[in-house]
Amino acid sequence: MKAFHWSWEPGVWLSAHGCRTPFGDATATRRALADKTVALKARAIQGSDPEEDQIPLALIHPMDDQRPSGWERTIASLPDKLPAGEWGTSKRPVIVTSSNFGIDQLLAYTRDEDARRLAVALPHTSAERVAELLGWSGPPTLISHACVSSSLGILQAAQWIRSRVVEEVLVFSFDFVSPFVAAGFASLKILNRGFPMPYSDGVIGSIGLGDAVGWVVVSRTPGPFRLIASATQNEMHHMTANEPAGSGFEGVCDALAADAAGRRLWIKGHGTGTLDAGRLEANAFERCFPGAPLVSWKGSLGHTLGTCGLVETAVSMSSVEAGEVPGTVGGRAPVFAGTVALDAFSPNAFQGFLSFSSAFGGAHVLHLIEHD
Amino acid sequence: MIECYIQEPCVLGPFTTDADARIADFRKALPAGRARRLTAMAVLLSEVLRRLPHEEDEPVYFGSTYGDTPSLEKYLASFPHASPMSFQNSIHPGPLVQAFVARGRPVPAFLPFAGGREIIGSLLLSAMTASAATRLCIVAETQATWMTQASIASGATFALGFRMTEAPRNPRFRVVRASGNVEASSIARESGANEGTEGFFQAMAEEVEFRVHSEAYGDFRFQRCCPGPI
Repeated sequence: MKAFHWSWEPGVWLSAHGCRTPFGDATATRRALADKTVALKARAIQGSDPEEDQIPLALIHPMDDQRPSGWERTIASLPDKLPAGEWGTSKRPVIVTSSNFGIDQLLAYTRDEDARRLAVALPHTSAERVAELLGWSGPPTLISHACVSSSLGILQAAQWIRSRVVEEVLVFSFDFVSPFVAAGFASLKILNRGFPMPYSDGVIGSIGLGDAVGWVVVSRTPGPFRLIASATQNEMHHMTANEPAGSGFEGVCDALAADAAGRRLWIKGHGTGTLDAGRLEANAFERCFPGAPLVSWKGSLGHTLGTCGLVETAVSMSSVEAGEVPGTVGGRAPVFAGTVALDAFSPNAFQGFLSFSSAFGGAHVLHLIEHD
Repeated sequence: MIECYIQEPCVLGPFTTDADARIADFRKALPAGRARRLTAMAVLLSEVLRRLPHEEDEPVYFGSTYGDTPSLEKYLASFPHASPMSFQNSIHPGPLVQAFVARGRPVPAFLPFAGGREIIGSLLLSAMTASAATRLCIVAETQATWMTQASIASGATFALGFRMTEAPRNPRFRVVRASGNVEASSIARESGANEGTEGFFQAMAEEVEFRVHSEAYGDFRFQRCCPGPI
């Protein structure tokens, strides 16, 4: 079955953008990535053996049971960083995406039975808290599809813009590592003591997890970043593993091949550090977009879960503005494809980039973004 | 103004005290190999897909305020030895992903929504503006144990599936969306007002004319159509 193709004609643009990672804002994050600085540090998961069970985590706040939680404290520091305006109205709605929302508070509740935690434990109640902290006037739309959540948020915003039912949309995403999610990934045996080496042909694959917040405004006002088209596919082969032949990766690449034709592109990949998915992804991109340099930054920032697509797109836009795209942090030869870029490069020779995210269920989202 | 048509909905529930027995019945109707590891909510959603099969290239819009809360309870109870099965099942769209995996066919476009009182408005606006001839919309909740008692999970188990079309194809409802200032979010019927997934489910199950007011996403009027081809 073919991937779904979403066309954004006559015009959808990504305007204001930003993020918050352990390095700071998008500019600080881009600089750190260009310097190949690794935000991940080996840390123990709560409740586990601190000597034996250390895993790579890139945290903004310590992973603890404090209330208010780390995500509330980080988001409370953001109001003056976000684009100004009255958000949360029918003409200027907000889409909030996350894979975890306030789930950390639910696990903490099972330990201490502090009922105050339940006020932000559900997706909509945590999003209402975010809306309150950031001064939005109405409740946001919530999209949650594991690690493609924020990429789908951008897609849904573009669909509303294209349909002319709204003026502009703020897409906001947050995901914070908690014992809930760290223990879950560890139980699936995809977290270990190793640090991620995206697209590297090693013996053992490893991923890291990270905290992040990101945002972008999607509008019909022309600017330097135009969303040309998107493609989606959900393999539904297995709950957590990809279809072995890589049909989902190939599908979204094929769906955007015609849109990409004639454009010199670079690729912000998903590249978590797992071996099978990394190989399938790198090979699909090399086959479909020959010569397009492929980068992943999860070797530094870790996998920021549902927010990764948006945060990494914001860093990509910041990289274009700065004239330098960081290379694949943590990666080393041999790599799965000759197009994997281990070192920083200039975006000036390119006309756009592809932003790619994957998730459980074999979900894939690929955006084609043209830049000046 | 935008409009669409809704074909005969698939309505399962609401089940409360009889939920386990009904889920067991639905599980028996599934091929044994598929059904064994599905959670209760995934069985419910598999039954929706059995009655309302997903058409190729059709975008799927899924809405649930609480998700698979029994799986979430199981996962939380598994600490400090986290259960990988309960972890993957507890992810927000997990139950519908299970149902699709059991059917073994890809889904090109899948948008899972969460949310409280605005979930139906945001889901309807998203589905109605999709670039597709048809869309499959599914809304579901399932009751839990201590999470239901703590009012952080649904008090009933139910699922609703319906196909939305651009052109009238045996429609049960014509849906018209108007933007503008409307009162606070609610699903209004002659009998009163409800909100969220449960209110929407009840209104669709009764097949009465109703409207979904959404402060942020517009005013959706559900006008009943005569059954049969137009």
